[in-house]
Amino acid sequence: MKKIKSVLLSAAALTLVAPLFAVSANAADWPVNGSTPVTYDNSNSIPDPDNPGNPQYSLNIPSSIVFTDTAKSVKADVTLKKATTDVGAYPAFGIDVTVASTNAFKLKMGNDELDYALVYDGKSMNATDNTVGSFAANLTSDTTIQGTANLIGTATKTGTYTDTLTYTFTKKTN
Amino acid sequence: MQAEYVRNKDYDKHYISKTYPLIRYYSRKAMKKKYPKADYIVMGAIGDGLKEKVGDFVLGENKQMSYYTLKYARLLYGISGYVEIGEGKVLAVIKRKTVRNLVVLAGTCISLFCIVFAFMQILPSNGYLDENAKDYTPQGVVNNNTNPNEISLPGYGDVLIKADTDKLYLALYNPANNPCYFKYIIKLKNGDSLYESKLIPPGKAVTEVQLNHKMKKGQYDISIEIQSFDLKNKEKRMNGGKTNTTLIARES
Repeated sequence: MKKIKSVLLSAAALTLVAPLFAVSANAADWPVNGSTPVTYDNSNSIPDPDNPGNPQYSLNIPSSIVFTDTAKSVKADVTLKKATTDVGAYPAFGIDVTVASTNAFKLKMGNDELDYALVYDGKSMNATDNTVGSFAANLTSDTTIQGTANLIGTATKTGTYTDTLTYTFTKKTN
Repeated sequence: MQAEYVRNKDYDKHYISKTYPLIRYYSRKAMKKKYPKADYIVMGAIGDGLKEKVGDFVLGENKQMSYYTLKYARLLYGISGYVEIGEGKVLAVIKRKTVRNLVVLAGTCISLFCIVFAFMQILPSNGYLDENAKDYTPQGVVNNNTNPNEISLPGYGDVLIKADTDKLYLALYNPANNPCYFKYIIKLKNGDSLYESKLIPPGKAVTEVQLNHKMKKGQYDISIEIQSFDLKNKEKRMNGGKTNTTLIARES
């Protein structure tokens, strides 16, 4: 019985002391050369029929620009909105915005034309300078690039003069 | 009630049943000639497909058969002619007319089909809507566009597809409150078209995008163009947008 007790006590003592020796052994070898694996697991990133890719953000543009005799200057704002309800869901990349016009920034009705100016940041848009502005990366709130459209010409015929705008959004590469 | 067979020499048709001798009778054409004012009375009928007995039709030489009320299944049987049983009194001769009736039925069906088809061509159809567009709410997407003067355009970052496939799983979505239809056009930077949708109504999306060809492993600059059209007049263009982004074809 006595022998058994002594064996158990010795084992317990060894258990307590052993880590001390282990630590000191590691400290003696410092600095240790090691390798840390750097991995990128994208095996689940390709969308499938059950989980199609979603839009990452939302951009509001004017649906149409309608001038009347009493409203010859109308808003033409472009707003970037949060895409999802998740925290930090604004895009992590910047976005450049340009605009193109079907009728070279003129309102048309048949062969008749009417001038108007689409203005962003004080500049009137044209075929060569059509930069609306930019949205920065990682925005924290909805952000608007303000714009206005101003009717310049005078209509000589009654009817509806139209133009169609296409806003282009390009992800910034840097 | 008895009806006696009048043996006229100018009968132009004959009827033979398994149990009775040959019975000669007038065809319908001959009846029109004999009774141009149709001033005869049909007292009953003999032949196929008859059920309610009226009396006996006496053929002479101790031979007789039953005659019946003029009730029969019109799809299967028809009046082949008439036999006289007295001055201005006749019995109709009923015969199975399945083939003739089937031809008439087929003709009627074809006519109806043609009429329905013609109406479908004339009436406005929904063929302009994309049949692959389904009700869709992107998970967690906020769409607070309540301004009818604005269009909410979905924006896309990098788009992923499995290499060597032509199915892109991406929600080409038209947010619910938009005042317009969307038409999506996906093009490579060199202008080659990869995909073009039909019109997608607000609140719907195409999520399985069938590209025009398989994409080999690599990265491609693409544009995702959204053309918009007035909900009240689908020919009327509204302002649209275009996202320039990257399509990545990745091996799995």
